[in-house]
Amino acid sequence: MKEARAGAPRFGPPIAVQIIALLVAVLIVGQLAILVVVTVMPPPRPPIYRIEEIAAALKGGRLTPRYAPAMLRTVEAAPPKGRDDDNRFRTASLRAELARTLGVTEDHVRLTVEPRPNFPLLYGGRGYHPHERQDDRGGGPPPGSPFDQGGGPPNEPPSSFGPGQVGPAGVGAFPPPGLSAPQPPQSGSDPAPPPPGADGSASWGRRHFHHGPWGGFPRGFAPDRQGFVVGAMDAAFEAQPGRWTVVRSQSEGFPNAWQRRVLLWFLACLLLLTPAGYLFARRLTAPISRFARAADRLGRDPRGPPMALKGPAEIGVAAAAFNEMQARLARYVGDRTAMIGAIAHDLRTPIARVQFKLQRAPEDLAADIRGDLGQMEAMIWAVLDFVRDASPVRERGPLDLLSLLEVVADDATATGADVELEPGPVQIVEGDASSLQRLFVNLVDNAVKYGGSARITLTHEDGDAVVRVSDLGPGLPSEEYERVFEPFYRVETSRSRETGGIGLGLSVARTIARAHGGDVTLASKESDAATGSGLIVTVRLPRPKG
Amino acid sequence: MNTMTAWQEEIEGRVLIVDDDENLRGEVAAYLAGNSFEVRTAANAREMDGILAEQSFDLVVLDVMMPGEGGLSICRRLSDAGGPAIIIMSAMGDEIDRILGLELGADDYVPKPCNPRELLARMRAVMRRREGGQGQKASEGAEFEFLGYNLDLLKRRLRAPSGVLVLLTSGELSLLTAFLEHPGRVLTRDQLVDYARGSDADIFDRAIDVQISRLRRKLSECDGQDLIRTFRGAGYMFNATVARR
Repeated sequence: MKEARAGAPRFGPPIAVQIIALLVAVLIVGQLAILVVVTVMPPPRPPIYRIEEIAAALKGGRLTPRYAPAMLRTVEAAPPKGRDDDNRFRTASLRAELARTLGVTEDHVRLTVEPRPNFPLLYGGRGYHPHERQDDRGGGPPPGSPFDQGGGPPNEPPSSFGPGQVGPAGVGAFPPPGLSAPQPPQSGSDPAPPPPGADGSASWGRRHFHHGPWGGFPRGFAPDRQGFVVGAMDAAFEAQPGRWTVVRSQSEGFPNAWQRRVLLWFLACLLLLTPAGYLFARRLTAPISRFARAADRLGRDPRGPPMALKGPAEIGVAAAAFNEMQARLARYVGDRTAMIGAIAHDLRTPIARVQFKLQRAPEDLAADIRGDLGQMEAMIWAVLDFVRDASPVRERGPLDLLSLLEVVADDATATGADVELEPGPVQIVEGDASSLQRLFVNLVDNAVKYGGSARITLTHEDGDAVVRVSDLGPGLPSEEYERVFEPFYRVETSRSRETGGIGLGLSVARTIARAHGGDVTLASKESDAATGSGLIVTVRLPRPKG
Repeated sequence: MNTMTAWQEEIEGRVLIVDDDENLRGEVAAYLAGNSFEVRTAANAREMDGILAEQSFDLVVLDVMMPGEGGLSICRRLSDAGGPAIIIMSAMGDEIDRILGLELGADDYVPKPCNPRELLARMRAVMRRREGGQGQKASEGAEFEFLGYNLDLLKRRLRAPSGVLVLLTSGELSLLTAFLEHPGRVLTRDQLVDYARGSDADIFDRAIDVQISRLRRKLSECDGQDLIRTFRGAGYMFNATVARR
């Protein structure tokens, strides 16, 4: 691809490549964020309820276990429905231990351990996953799937569990193997230690849970001597016939620890990627805005500077084509202007001849023709001015705009025109004196020609020097405001009049103003009885900084 | 080639017209001959040199755009050789050309097309200047320097010490020139009007005081009040050392 664009080494890679690179970068950042969240943060722990804590709560004692949030206690007519049966094997020994602790027979005690994570949003309240019921039949959880461990083949051997999670399942108080969910936080009731002295393997929990995905047992928890339940549970105790005291773990609301973790990961990715995305978008769209600006510039002045050939390859190619088009356009305009100028120039010698020949003509005829010649001459000057001002500005330098306006006003007054320059502050602008003088001469001439008089003010607004030339004439309909700046355009009334001119004055004025970084605009004067309507021509020229 | 002798006894001067347009050349020659000039014409630089070798002229009217050697080049050549006065008559008409022509040694510049009477008036003015011993070319001594200001008479421009260009109306220019030519002297209003009239621009009907105050404003990078001092009842004095180049 590089070879294909050998002629334009400044171009960046194509947009497609850039976007693919961005996607890959996003992927990598996202994965890194997960890695950081998983490795740096301690994993959330499931609640742990000791059998003696459950028993105390069922008896009406404390509801706050040491390693779990507070439990809820209710009194009901019946034990929690059906659950006990489901978990019969799994919790049998724990239930027996609970009954023993409470000092009653197992008939009066129910214990259910929820093997599921409790995500209300996913499962709908404290609902159960459809696969849950398989647990008792020994469905093994597929590794790496924290929320769904029920899909595995039933009766999978315990070795399929993650390392160090269940281990020698079934020891001690454990129900048949393969019931627990290794990864999700609150799932699984697996790590129930055997009742004290059951078969001497009471220490399995420590061995296998210390480094489990939940981060092992909390500090200070000794699973050796006590039965305990990990994860959400409910326990019921029939203290009197038909009166069941039920104690359940409180569900961890939204967001629970894992949800918080996912949100954190999402936020981290967002924070990391938003600036990158912004920069990327900027990088991609900057050439497009540059394009828009260049097109706008081209509309005003085909001889403007060419666009910079930077940016993605596609845009670079388009920019090169655009610049070529602009160059052709500039050449075309230049040729045409030069031709107009040449014609105008060559007309001057014959006119000069006629002027000398007129000396021999009868005086009344000569005066008549001289008038016509004067008009032709004025047109030629206008065309030549136009051609000249279409060329780049020549010598630029700081210039006292007020003094220039004084000269313009003075010269106009000397020819008998009613021109007044209002006193104003000195404004220094950067420019070419002769073109600027021509600009204001044109505007003052127009004002005098169509409006009978010209009133010039000089102020400064927003860092610009602003000159307003107003007259007391009939003004212009606002739909003509832009058209009158077109070369050779004249408003209808001006053609029929003996005002001469060929419709270049305003066009020249605007060309000059824009070449100086300013502009010429038209506005209508507020109509009032005293002064009549009139046109205000506003010229803005930027003042040099500092 | 063809010599047209004035019918009048008295001949105002001898003029050589150099222009590649034969028709115009003839018209100008006829017109000037009718105004008591002795006129010869040349179509190009080569013809001109031949005629100049034959006889001397008071004035050469020179076109700029000609085949062969151009008018500006001829202008410089004649001027360097200390030849006759030169008036450039050109269709270029641009200010740059005017200034260039004057800097290359022309005495005056007339745009084409021009009013024949204007040409005549300028020719007379140039010849008068030459006869009056002010054999000075327009470009000589056309620049004044004072207190960091620079006044270019050809370009009619004043450059302030800060580099800002200040434009002068013809009245202000005449007035400032009058001051610059007589620094350190108290000039009465009448004298000022007189001096100002003497120069090219004779539009001077504005009140002197107004002109003076505007000049002071335009010279305000130095202390304008101090630069042009008012002597009540007497006149004004330009208070600075002036160098002329």
